Amino acid sequence: MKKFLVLILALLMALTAVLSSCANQNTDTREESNFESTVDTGRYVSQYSMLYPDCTIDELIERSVLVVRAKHKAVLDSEKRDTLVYTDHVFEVEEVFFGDKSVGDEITVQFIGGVIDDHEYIYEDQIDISESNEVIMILDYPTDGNDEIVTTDRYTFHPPMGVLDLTDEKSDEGDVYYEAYAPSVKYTADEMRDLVDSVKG
Amino acid sequence: MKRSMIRSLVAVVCAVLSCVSLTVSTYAYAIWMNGGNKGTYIHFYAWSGFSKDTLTQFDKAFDEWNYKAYSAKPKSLWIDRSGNLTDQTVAFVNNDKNEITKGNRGASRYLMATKATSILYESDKYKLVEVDIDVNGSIPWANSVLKNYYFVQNAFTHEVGHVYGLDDVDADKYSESTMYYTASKNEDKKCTIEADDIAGIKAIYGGN
Repeated sequence: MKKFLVLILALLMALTAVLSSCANQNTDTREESNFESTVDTGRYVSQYSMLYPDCTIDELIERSVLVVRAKHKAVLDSEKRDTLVYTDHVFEVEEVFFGDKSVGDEITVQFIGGVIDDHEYIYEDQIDISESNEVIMILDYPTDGNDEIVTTDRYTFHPPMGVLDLTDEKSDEGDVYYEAYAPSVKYTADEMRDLVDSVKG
Repeated sequence: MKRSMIRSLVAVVCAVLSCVSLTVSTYAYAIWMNGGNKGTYIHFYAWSGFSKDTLTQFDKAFDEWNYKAYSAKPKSLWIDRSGNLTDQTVAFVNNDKNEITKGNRGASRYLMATKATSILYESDKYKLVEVDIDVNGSIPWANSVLKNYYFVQNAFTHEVGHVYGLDDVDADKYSESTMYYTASKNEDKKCTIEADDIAGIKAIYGGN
């Protein structure tokens, strides 16, 4: 009986250890670096973080001018516009849910962040776009401080929710899901088409 | 005998599991700024066009972090405004000066934003040289909780969290957190920092 009790206690201790090791599983502790108090030279790195008005995918779609499924083709130069640094990316349209574009058209979309004169500007809360990435994008034209359209030559988007990245997940029907950065909502292309149709009428 | 033994065992298991559940905690925080701001005093210059009431909101937000996270951070780290003003309205200017600016950036963009600039002088070593916070003037702001307005202190407390080195959290279950990535009109829940936020500060600076 003593052996049995010892075994039970050992199991409980092991359980405690396992649960304790899970205590920080929901934290994102990106690797810390050493911090030095004095330094004169080096490359400059700027990080942006933004607090957004609470809104839904439906609201984004409602005010968008173009909603498409597209494939990434090229990265253009970075440029400072208004108060932020942007990098333009070229996409080829593969499916149009709403807007005045056709399959095969190329569109230019600005992403926050980039490199200018060896100064790197990083926007943290955003998916990494690379060659051949397939995404669903809910797009607007860039506007100025008075909400007047600056240009119709390129598009912009709401960073946490405006670009939904292709995932490995599939629906019961075998359709692939596209997921927004935050909140982590996901849609298949068919579901997005239905949503856009219901919002845009 | 056997029954009493089983009852005792069940009691022991329940007691241990209760203790474990109390000690296990899942904190909602993420680290934004590598290495934080160890050992520094960070002094902000606010745009001269802010009202006295708005400046008071900023000071309350700084105090919330400075005092409530006091034991979690280095004692020498203090972030405040110290009353000095700037004429700068352009956001995020690289001028080695920590500034709080305001300008119309468009109603569909951010409420407030923070930019931290560091010198990367080795592959993983930084020196923080400047932090700027911008207030989007296209957004309806109020210095108290008012219907259809965003509360300045609520959003600014979130931004001060970034200055301390914390990142946004975006999972729906953390929507009550100061560092949640969105804010609503009439909202004031970000004005007070909680255990999650302090745990994040401890993770960056190693305090108690």
